[in-house]
Amino acid sequence: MVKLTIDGKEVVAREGQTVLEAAREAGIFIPALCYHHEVKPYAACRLCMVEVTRGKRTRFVTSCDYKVAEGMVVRTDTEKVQKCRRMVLELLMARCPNLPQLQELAQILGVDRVRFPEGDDDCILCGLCVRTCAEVVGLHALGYESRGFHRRVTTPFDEPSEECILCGACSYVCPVEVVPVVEEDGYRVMERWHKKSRLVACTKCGKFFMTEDELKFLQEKTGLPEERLKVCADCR
Amino acid sequence: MAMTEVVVENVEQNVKEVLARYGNNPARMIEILQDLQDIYGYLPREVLREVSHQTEMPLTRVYHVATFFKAFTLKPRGKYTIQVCTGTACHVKGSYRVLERLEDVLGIKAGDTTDDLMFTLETVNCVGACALGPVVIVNHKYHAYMTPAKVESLIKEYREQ
Repeated sequence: MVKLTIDGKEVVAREGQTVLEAAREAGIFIPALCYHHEVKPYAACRLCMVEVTRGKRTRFVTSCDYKVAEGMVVRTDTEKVQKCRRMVLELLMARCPNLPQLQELAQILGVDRVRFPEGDDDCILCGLCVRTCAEVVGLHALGYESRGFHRRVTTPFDEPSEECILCGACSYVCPVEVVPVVEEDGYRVMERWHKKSRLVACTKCGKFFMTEDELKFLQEKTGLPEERLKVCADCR
Repeated sequence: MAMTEVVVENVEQNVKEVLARYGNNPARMIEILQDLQDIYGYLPREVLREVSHQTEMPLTRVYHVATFFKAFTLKPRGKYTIQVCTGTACHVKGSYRVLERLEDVLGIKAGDTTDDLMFTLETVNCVGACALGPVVIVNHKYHAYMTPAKVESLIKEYREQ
């Protein structure tokens, strides 16, 4: 057990926990877009900045990947911290002007203008889709391309990935919901990754519930016969 | 001009040899890709796929490294790479006019390659030879005091080589 102070409040955290997790468990709000408890912290969005004092030294850290330590003093509400977060959000909003999730955060954090030239992107490069595909699903369908201004998330060569099974985990985890999954005419389609796969119907209720690629993936992974896997969660 | 087909051969063998040079260690991806680019003049898709296959590194990671550095190119390059210095000194001495003339003569824009795969045209920002400006470099050979008038004969010289 580790004792620390967050915004003047005594907090007991578990060894190895991050400041963000400890704060959230203590009911203290820290904004974050690239954090998800199922994948490793990445510190990409920079919104979770806090001020940490250890001994004589105070500094700014990203709370999502900063581990708690005994006697640490954390402040999430100082003017400096808020200014820092507002700047980060302003930059994200300049990059992606049309994301309701960012507008909502702007209301909370008090960003009322964007002073930078507007871009036309819709991806904040949080990397949650990439990390979920790799760490949770265990595939590497998604990755990054290029760097700086040109950095983006895509499949290799912008071609439909051979690895992608259209499970939709990347869509589910996207904090700004820009990876739509559409099901039509017996296919599941993910336009952003230029990929579609035929849907498989449940042998009991007849409802479409997975893609052929998912079925193949599960067969290889579990070694179970096709008949057993072709039953949906409701009928199992 | 007809588009020249690029033949990519011996992918499996070449990748194997290059990997062996670096102890099959994917942490040395940059050196591996550099050596492969030396062989093919660029990084063909099938080469990146083979690197991923043999190193067991996800293709997404190999692709990220290959697109991260400006030194790597995923498009075929010409036999001759023409670099026009557009650094401050060369610019002042009129390198942009040399570049314009090169674009006219070759029929391509900076960053592109001619269809016959003879020339790739690109700009660089200062090569440390300001006194010789405007400088044009063709496959590591420096051509000093370039003028738009000299462009045509320069291209002709390399075409005939």
